[in-house]
Parts: sequence; C-alpha cells; structure tokens
Amino acid sequence: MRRKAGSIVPFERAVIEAGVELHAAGAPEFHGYLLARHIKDATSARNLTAYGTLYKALDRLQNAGLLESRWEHPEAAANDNRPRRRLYRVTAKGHAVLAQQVPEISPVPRLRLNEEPVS
Amino acid sequence: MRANVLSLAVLSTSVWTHIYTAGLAGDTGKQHRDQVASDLWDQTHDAAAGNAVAFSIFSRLVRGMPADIIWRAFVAPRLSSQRLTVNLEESRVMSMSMKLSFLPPPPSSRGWLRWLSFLHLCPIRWPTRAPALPLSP
Repeated sequence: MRRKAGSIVPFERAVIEAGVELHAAGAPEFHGYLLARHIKDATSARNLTAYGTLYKALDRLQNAGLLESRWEHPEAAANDNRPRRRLYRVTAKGHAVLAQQVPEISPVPRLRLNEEPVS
Repeated sequence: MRANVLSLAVLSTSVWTHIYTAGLAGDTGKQHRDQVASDLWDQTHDAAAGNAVAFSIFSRLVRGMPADIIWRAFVAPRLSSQRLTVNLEESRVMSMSMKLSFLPPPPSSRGWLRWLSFLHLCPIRWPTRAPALPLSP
C-alpha cells in the first residue's frame, strides 16, 4: 500500500522530532546511535530502535528531502580511532512537515458520555 | 565470557549486514555497512549503555531483520538492476565459451557441419517472436 505523498509515519515523525530536539540542545547534526538513544530516552522505551528500522527510516526521510546527511571527515574519526559517522540534519522542509503534522495528532477533546454537547 | 558474547553480537550484526547488502551496485551496500559499523562502535563504547549491551545489539539486529529483508527485496533491486543485467550477460557469454572450449577441432567438412549443428543445439536461445495466428476469413 502506497502512502500519501508528504505524509510520514509515527516513527519518522519521532526521528524528525528527535533531530529538532537535539539541535535545540546544541547538537546541530546527529548520527544514528545518538538518535536511537535520544528516542529511547524520550519515549521511555525499553530497547533502542533496531538497526533495520532506524537506517531505512533515515534513508526514506533523506529521499523525501526532510533530512540531509554527510559523511564525517575521515580525520575526525581517525583522531578518535573509530569508524566514520554519517551525520544527519533536519532540513527546512523537515521542520515544515513536522509543523504541519502537529495539529493532526494533538489530542482532540472528547465528550464524556454524561456531557451534553455545547451548541 | 561477557566479552565473548559481545564480540559474537557485533560479529553477527556485521555478518548479517554483509549478507543483505551483498552485490548491491555502487556505494549503497558499503554505506549501509559503514553506518551499522559506526553505530556498533558507538554503542559498545557508550558508558551509559549499561551492562546488557550484547543483548541490546542482538535485539536490535533481530527486530530490524524484517525491515532489512523488505528493503533488500523491494528497494535494493531498483538500485542494482543495472548490475544484475550485466552479470546475466556475462554468465551467458561464459557458458557459451566453456562449451566451445570442450569441443574437438573439426576434422573435415562433415565435421564442420556437425560442429555447426551442435552450436545450433546449444541451450543459448535468443527470444523469438511467436508465429502469427492465421486470420479468420
């Protein structure tokens, strides 16, 4: 089933939200593990997001133009004696899509059974 | 013991990533492998990760397998279709050259005819158009 153009699934929304929060916390770019840990902490989940789920979602968001990425400079990784990281950043389009999505998922006030509707 | 389990978890994840990205065209496979390798390094060197790192890596690996398989089955073929075509052509040429190398040299004109008839019977068939059906009057 194909989804509507411009729509994002809840996990993709969580990824963009995490990217925005990390940016606000002083990390303009984020890598996969940092993102997985942030989502785990923010949602109080028991486990980190699976590799397959996380990196396929990042690919989809990048193809949709909601994220952009670059590979870290090899020297920076070599200085820390670790593999290179792929660094992501939320684009302006990503911010716009997130802003559009917020009203849709905001809690809608529901009538209780014993309440009369306001006319 | 704990270090062995952690090494096994990291190795399993690396092996699986190599399996589902094998044969992809361009840098697609390498980029996926490098991302997962970087993630593994970060998780194994994260002081806040706790004691159950090996279990977490196994869990992340297994829970992500369906997404990996779906990605490989439906998304990756579009990325590597060009390479697959080339490989099929190469294998066709290779099978023909192997058959020819086992043939004895033709001794006479009759032998040439047999040789050509053998070539005709080779299983390498080019697609032919189906015979047209006769039109009803």
